[in-house]
Amino acid sequence: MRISTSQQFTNSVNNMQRSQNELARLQEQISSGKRVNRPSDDPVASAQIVKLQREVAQFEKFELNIDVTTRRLELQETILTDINTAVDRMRELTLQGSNGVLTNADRKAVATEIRQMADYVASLMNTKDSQGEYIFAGSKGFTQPYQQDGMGRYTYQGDGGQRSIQVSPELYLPSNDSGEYLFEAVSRETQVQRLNVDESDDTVTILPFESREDEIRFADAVKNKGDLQFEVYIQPGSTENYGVRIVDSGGETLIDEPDITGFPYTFSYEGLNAEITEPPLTDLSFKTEAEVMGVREVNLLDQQTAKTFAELYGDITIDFDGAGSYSLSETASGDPISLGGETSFPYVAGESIRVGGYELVLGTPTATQSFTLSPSLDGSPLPKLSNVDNVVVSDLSVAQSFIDTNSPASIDLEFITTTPQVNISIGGVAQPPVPYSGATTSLEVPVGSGIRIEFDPANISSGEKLSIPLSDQPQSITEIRVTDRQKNILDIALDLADLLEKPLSPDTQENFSAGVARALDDFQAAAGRNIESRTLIGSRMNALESVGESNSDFKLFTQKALSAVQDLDYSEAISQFKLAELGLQAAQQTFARVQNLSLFDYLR
Amino acid sequence: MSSFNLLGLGVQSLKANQSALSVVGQNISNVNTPGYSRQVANFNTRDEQFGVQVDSIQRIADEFLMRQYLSDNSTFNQAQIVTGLSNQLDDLLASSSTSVSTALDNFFLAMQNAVDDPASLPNRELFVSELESMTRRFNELGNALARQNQTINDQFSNFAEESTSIAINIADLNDKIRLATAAGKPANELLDKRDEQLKALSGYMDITVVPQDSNQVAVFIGNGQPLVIGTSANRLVATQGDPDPSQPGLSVMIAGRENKITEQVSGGKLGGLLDYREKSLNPAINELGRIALVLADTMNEQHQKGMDLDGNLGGRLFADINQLTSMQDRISAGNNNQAVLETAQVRITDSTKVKASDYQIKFTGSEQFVMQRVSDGNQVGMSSMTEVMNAADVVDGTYFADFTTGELVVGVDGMTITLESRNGFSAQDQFLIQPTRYSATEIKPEVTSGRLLALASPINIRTALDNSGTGKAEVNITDINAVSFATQGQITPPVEIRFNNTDPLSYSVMDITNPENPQVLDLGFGPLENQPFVAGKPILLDGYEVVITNKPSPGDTFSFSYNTGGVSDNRNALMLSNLQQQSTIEGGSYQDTYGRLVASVGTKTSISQNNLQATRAVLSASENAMSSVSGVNLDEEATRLVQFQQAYQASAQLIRASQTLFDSLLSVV
Repeated sequence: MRISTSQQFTNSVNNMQRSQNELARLQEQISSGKRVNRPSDDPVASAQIVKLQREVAQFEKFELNIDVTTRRLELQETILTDINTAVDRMRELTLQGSNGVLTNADRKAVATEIRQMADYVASLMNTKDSQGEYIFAGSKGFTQPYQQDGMGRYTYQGDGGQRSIQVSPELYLPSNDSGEYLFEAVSRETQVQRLNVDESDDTVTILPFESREDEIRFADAVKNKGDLQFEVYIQPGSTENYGVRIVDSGGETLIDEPDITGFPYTFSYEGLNAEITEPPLTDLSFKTEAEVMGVREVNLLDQQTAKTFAELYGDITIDFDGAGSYSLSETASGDPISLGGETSFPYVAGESIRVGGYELVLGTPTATQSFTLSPSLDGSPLPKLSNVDNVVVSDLSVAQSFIDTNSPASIDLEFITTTPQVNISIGGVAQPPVPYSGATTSLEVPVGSGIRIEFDPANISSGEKLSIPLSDQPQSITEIRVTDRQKNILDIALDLADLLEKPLSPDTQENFSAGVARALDDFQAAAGRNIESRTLIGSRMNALESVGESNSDFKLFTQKALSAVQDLDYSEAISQFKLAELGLQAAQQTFARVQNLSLFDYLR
Repeated sequence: MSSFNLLGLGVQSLKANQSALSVVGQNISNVNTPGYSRQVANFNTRDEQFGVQVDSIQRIADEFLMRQYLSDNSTFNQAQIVTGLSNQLDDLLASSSTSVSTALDNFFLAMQNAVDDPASLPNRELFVSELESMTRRFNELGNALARQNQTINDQFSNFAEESTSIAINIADLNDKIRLATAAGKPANELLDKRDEQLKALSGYMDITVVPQDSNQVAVFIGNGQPLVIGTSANRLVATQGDPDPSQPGLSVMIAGRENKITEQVSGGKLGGLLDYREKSLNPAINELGRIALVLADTMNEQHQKGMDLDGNLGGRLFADINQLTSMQDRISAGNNNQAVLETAQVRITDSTKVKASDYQIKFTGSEQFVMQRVSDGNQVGMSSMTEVMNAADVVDGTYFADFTTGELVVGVDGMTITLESRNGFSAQDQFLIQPTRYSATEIKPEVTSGRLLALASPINIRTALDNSGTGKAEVNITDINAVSFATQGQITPPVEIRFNNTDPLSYSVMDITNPENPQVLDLGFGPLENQPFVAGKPILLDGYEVVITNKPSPGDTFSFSYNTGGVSDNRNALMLSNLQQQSTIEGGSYQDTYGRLVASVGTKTSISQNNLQATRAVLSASENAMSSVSGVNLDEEATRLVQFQQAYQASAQLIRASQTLFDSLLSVV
């Protein structure tokens, strides 16, 4: 091939430049110590590097979290130890104070020391960390957790909040314990609280427990029963008017005393005493069963499904054909709703069907009946199933004898809006219908029964049925809730101090001994809780330690992986550098040689 | 045969060799002249009589090699400019001082301090300042990318101007060559010069050279738009971008009319700029913008579900992504649109569904449009979208149109595009939508003080102390705008969940506005009474959901109220912190996506580097081939020098011989 002179120069220059580029690249790698200096050096590795660097940063974060958490837990443990020592001292003082040979003045001195110890413990429980945050206040770190009220008692102002800290990719550990867990609820008192009643309602009055044993017996008996109901009900077939029973949150009857002999009546159940007075008639209500448009009950089964349906279709009209099948349509547009390709669904009268998260218990729907289910997104609730507002007893003795005569049959009402009148049957036997007018708001059904219904005729739909079962007697309901009132260590100590400060007499001796015994029990419980929580802290610190170790293993592993991807193999890079250097030198030398070769040199 | 003949012969030979020698001289003196093609004197015997003459001085050049060179040069220049720009981008993304990933790491680390100790003001202030520096990092990188775009724009118009002046030179040279050819003069040097100009032009774009009469050439670009025809040249101009004003296009002015050739130009520096802008820079800007957008939006959303140090519900961490100016920046209208717009804005409705792509809406009629996603070319017509009756009901995949009033609202990929035109729309109207183009430069912190960081959850969960079961409750805020949170400092109504003694276990939800008189809660779907309990299944309440795990016992209660004073609570901070690992952007976290961006830029850069090496090799092969044909070799010229010199000397001897002959003849006489 013919080579032009300028080509010789250009090619040499190009070759040398290439070698120099390679040298510069290797030099950059060697001086930075990194194989990948920019993503284009190794695009796949650079994506990995970003990921691995983030993992390393994560593990560093976890290390930091573990340090912080360990410090907090250590501080907490130290304080708990101090509190435990103080509680031990208070126990000693209790024993000392209970000694029969002490004078009133001696006991007072002991009481004073106990008060001082209580103040000391309170100050420990109000400990702040270096940031000025109360460590035992739960989430309310800026609120002093134990504050003295006007009576000198300490009440807990914090909450039960626990702070979770992430210490490994999958593990979150609480970094604090609230005063609520540590110091409250050391000693428990059973408390019986009436719900949903006015102060003035005295049908059921809960009496104080007579003894600690009664309290514990009752608490055990109603444990896990939920909220309870006292039901004072009209008792048929008896010379007495009323019975009383307790029903738990699942509807199970715990105790039933059918015959109340005279008011006020004292009722006992497992250590609980309650005084029952005669309930006012207005307080008595019947459990009724209504049937509107063929539907007796609408129960919400699944709010999520109900919401989804409401969002999709709005109100839903259920059309019954009276022959065992029903169809659904959107109330607003009338568009039929098809579910799973079906538009018609079977039903059995008296059984239930499920529509869009609801269970509908059916009566006997007829062909013309259609029920509108109107769950709503804007917060207005489902319509009431019955349009009869109330069923009341207007005359107790008349009603009672009526019930006596007819129980357990039921009064079945059917509203005919065209006439208008109410058709009545008792136990399936038709009675004379009772007419009503647009102005009627209260109607005795049947006449002479002492039982009245209250309603607004404008609301009544034709064919609406209401059944008043006489087996389920009208009753007055009082709901009660049994809770534990919490006592903290400070309460215990101050209660004890109060007890010790009272002059002792033979009359108060029994009370005094019981009080001291209780205080000792409570201190024991406090010490127990203290040990329990310190054990918990200890196990948490152990967990932190082992998590910390595995974290540093993982971190090391990740760093190794990062290094493998990112860092330079020096020996390889340096040998490459030498090679490139050699190449450049060779290029330079041959260039010099080639340039010496010119024919002109020989033309003399 | 006369001795004069011999003299004449000698003189002719002397002359011929002299001119051959001067050709050698020309070659030697131009050995370093770029573009010079070596010349050769063509000797020929004279017809019908003895003697020699130099017929012509031939320029040694190969038209086919030239054509090959022009194409290789164009490819090489394209690769070179793409590689240069890619390297810049590569360095920008990689260097840790601009790396967004590092900034995010620092940000989340600062957040972790706040998680550890949410009540500490110094930790909170640190968080705020890291937040600021992180957004600055986004802004800086975003600005750097915008600057590169600006550089490209400047280069673009420079290159267009340079190409125009080269085109004018070529037309000029065509004229001179035409004249020389007409006069029968050799035009070798002019041809060399024109070849040089053609080579230079091919560095800017792909060109097609077609020979014309009288040794002239015509130059065509793009799809056959003429740049040079004979002695006239057309101007190449950079025009305002359409519809994106920040990205100019290219037009050739033919008879005073602009002919857009942006799409058709390939190869060379101009093609390289366009290619890089479309394939590397724009996707990078969009992707970075998307990370910023999703970060701001998801963080804001979570932050607003929290409660700050003063017990107020959280505000925004970052400035609203749907500020009016931002919404308007996301859309630009075509320059030649008929529609006169009153409103044009793009609202991001779900940032996690937004793609890092531009979109185009083109009207094919006054009541017909198609929409195209630029990144993958996916096209959606009106018929494949659902029409809704109300502008407010538009969600992804639906549109609302009232063409009589000129209103169009389209929902696609997590955004709602609203167009209101005063005079309706017409065929050929087009709109460019860039959901994430400016997000990286626009992201900025809104929270200014550490106190305003909403690290706590607004809902306090109270687990009754005497609960005997192991149930554990957690809350998730689902809608901070619900009635539950409408009144500052409280949950309306406060709620209690209690478990009933049924089999299977059930619960009731109570409104405990009056704790003495709890009422069964009804959120419009019926009373929440005796609901079957499933551990871990969310209980939906107004604006939040409660998840109770493990096994609660009958009688256990959990109550939910406002977290007044809950300064040490870190639940919302944990949720914020967890966002770092969550797949918020198409199956990846913020940093995963950034990593993907880095890798994709790296891959493109690496490919362009390889490409550059390959095209350089190809170009240099083609240069060598040309040089091997047309280049001057001094050794060769030295030989020729000796050759012609000897012939010259011999010719001189001829004259001398003729003289001797003549002399001897005279002496005889």
